Amino acid sequence: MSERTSSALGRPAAIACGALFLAGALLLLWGAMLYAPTEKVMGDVQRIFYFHVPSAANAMLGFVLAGVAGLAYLATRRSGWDEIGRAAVETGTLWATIVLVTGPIWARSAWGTWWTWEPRLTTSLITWLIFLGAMLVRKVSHNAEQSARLASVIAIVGVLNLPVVYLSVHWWRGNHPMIFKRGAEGALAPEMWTAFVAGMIGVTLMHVALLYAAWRTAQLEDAVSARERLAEHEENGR
Amino acid sequence: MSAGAAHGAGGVARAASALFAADLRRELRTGEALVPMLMFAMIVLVVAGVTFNLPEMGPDDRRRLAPGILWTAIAFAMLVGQARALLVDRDEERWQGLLLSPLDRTALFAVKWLEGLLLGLAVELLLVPLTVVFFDLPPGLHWGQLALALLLGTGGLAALGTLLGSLTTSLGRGEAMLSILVLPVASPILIAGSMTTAKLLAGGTLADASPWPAVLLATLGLNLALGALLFESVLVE
Amino acid sequence: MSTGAGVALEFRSTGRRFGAVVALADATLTVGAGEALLILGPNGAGKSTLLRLAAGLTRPTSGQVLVDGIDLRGTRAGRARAAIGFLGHRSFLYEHLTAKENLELYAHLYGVAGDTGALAERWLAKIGMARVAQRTVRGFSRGMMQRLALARALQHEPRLVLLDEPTTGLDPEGRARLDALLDEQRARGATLAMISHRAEAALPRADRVLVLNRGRIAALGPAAERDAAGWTALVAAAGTAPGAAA
Repeated sequence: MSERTSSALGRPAAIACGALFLAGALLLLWGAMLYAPTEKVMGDVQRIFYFHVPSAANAMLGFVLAGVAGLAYLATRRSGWDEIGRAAVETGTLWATIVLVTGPIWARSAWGTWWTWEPRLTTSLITWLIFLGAMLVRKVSHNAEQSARLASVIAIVGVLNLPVVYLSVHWWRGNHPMIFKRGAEGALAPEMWTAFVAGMIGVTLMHVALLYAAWRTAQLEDAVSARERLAEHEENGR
Repeated sequence: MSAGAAHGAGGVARAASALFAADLRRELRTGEALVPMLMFAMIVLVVAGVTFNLPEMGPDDRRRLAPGILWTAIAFAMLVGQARALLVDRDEERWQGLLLSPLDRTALFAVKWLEGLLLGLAVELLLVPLTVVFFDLPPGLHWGQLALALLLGTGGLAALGTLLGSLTTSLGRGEAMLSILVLPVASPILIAGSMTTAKLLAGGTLADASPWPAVLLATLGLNLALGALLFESVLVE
Repeated sequence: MSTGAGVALEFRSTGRRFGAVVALADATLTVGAGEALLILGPNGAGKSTLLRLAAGLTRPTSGQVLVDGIDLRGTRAGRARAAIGFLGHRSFLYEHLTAKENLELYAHLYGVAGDTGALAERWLAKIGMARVAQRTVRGFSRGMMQRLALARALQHEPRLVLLDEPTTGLDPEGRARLDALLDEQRARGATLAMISHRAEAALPRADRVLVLNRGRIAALGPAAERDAAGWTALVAAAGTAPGAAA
C-alpha cells in the first residue's frame, strides 16, 4: 500500500501554492498593465506580449520536463517520475493553449488577421497537438503501468522531435516578415524590458505553483487507484 | 541442433529474414495491409481532384497543389497500412512470442520498419504515376531524385509508424489513434517531403531543394534511432 | 531431485509493481538445473507474473532475474532467452501460416540449426497433428492450438521450460501427450517450472513446490513433504490468512 495517501494537497502546501500563484500573477499584471509604457504603434494590445512570450517559454519548460521525466521513468520504472511527467504535460499543454489563444488576439490587432502561419505560432500549434496526444493515450489506457510507459515514450519522441519541428517550420516560412520578434528586440524600451522580465518571472512562479498542485494530484490519483486495484486484487484472490 | 542455440551474426539475419518471410507470406495471402492502403491512397487523390476542382485549375496551380496532396495520400496510406499490419500481431499475443524469442529487439524493430517502408514504396509505385496523370504534370522531371526523396520520407514515416503503431496496437487502437500520434510529430517530414517534391516537379534537382532533402535525411535518422531505443519500452511491460 | 549441476533460474530480491500494486514482492529463489518446480497459489497470487519475469516478458521493478546466470535485462539477454521455452495463456501462433510454417518460423527465430522442416514434422507427429501440418492455424480448436503452442515452446530443446497452466483446453488424450512430453523434457535434463491449479495431477512430476500468495512466497519445500491434499490445503490457508507460511 502507498505511504503517501495522507491527505489532499495538505493545508500548508495549498496555501503556499495559492500564494505563489497569486504572487506570480500580480507580478505579471503589474509589469504588463501598470509599469510597461504603451507601445506607440500597436497600442495597448502589445501588452499581451508580456503574457504570450513567457507562456510559450513555460510551455516549452513543461514539455522538456515531461521528456526528462519520461526518460527517467523508462529507466527506473518508478511511478514518481511518471507523476512528474503527467503534471508537466498537463501544465505545458495549458501554457501552450494560452499561447494559441493570446497569439491570434495579438495577430488580429497587429496584422489584421486571426491566424498567420507565423513560425512560432505554427510550432506552438504542432507542439500542442503532440502533447494532447500524450494526454489522450492516458485516457485510453486502462492500465496505470501501461499508460505511464506509453505516455513516457510519446513525451520523449515529442520532445526530441521539437528541434526539428522548430527548424523546419522556420525554414518553411523562410524570410517572411516576423514583425517584432526579430527586429524589435534591440529596440525594446528599458521599461518594456523590465516588464518582460517581470512577466517571465511571474508566469514561471504561476507555473511552479500549478506544477506542484498537478504533481500532488497525480500522486493522489495513483494512491487512490492503487487502493482500488488492491481491493479488486483481494476480491479475486478469494 | 543444440539446445537453445544463440544467434551468431548470421543467425540474427536468418531469424529476421524468417520473420520477414512469414509476414510477407501473410500479406500475400490476405493483402490485409496493402489493399486498403492502395484504395485509401487513390481515394485521397480522387477526393482532392473533385474538391479542389482540378479541371478549372491552370497548370501552375495544379503543380503547386500536387506535392501536398501526394504527401497527404502517402501519410494516410502509411497510417492505414501500418496500423493494420501491426494490429494483426496483437492476436494470440504474437508480439509476446517475438519478444520471448532470442531475436534482438532492435532487429525486431528493423524488420517491422522495413515492412512498413516496403508497403509505403509499393503504394507510391502506383500513387506517383497516378498523381502525374491526374494533375496533368509535366513528365520530364528527375525521377531518380524523386525516388530518393520518397525513399527518405517514407522511411522516416515508417519509423514513426512502427514505433507509435506498436504503441497504439498495445492499446488496442487503430488508424485514428495512430494518426493523432504520428502526424504532428511527422510534420517536418511532410513539410520537407512536399517542399522537395515541389522543387522536383518544377524541374529542379535535390540540390535546388536544399535544405529539405537534408531534413528528410535527418528525420529518418532521428526517428530510426528513437524507434530502435524505445521499441522495447513500448512492448515489454 | 536437483542434479546440482548449476542454477538454471534465479530470482534475486525480485519485485514487480504495476503502478502501486505489488504483483511480486522481493522474491528470492533458485531453481537448480534439471529440477522440476510446481507453482501453486490462489488467483492473483503472482504466479503468472513470476513466470513472465522468468521468461523476460515482464521487467522486474526491483532486483534481478537470471537464467543460466545471465541477467535478463543485460546485454546478453538474447542468449538467455534462447534457453527458454515458454507457454503462456496465448499460443503466439500465426493464423495465416500453416501448422508447419509456424513451427519453422519459431525454429528460425530461436536459431535452430539444421533441417527445420524435418524438425517441425517430427514435432507435429509427437503432438498427434501430422495430418493437419499443411493447414493454416486459423480455425484450429483451442486444444489444437494448445498442442501446437506446446510444440512451439519445446522444439528448440530449451534448457528452461516455463509452462503456465499447460493443460488448458486439452482433452484427456492431449493431457496424456503433455505428460509424456514433460517426462521427455525431464529425461533430457531440462529444468521445469510449471503453474497448475490441479495439484494432484502435477505433483508426481515435481521435485519442489512453491506456494505464492499476494505476491509473496508463502511456502517452498520438497514436493514429497505433503500429499496433494496437503498442498491444496496449504494454498487454501494461504488464500485466507495472509503470510501463513509452512
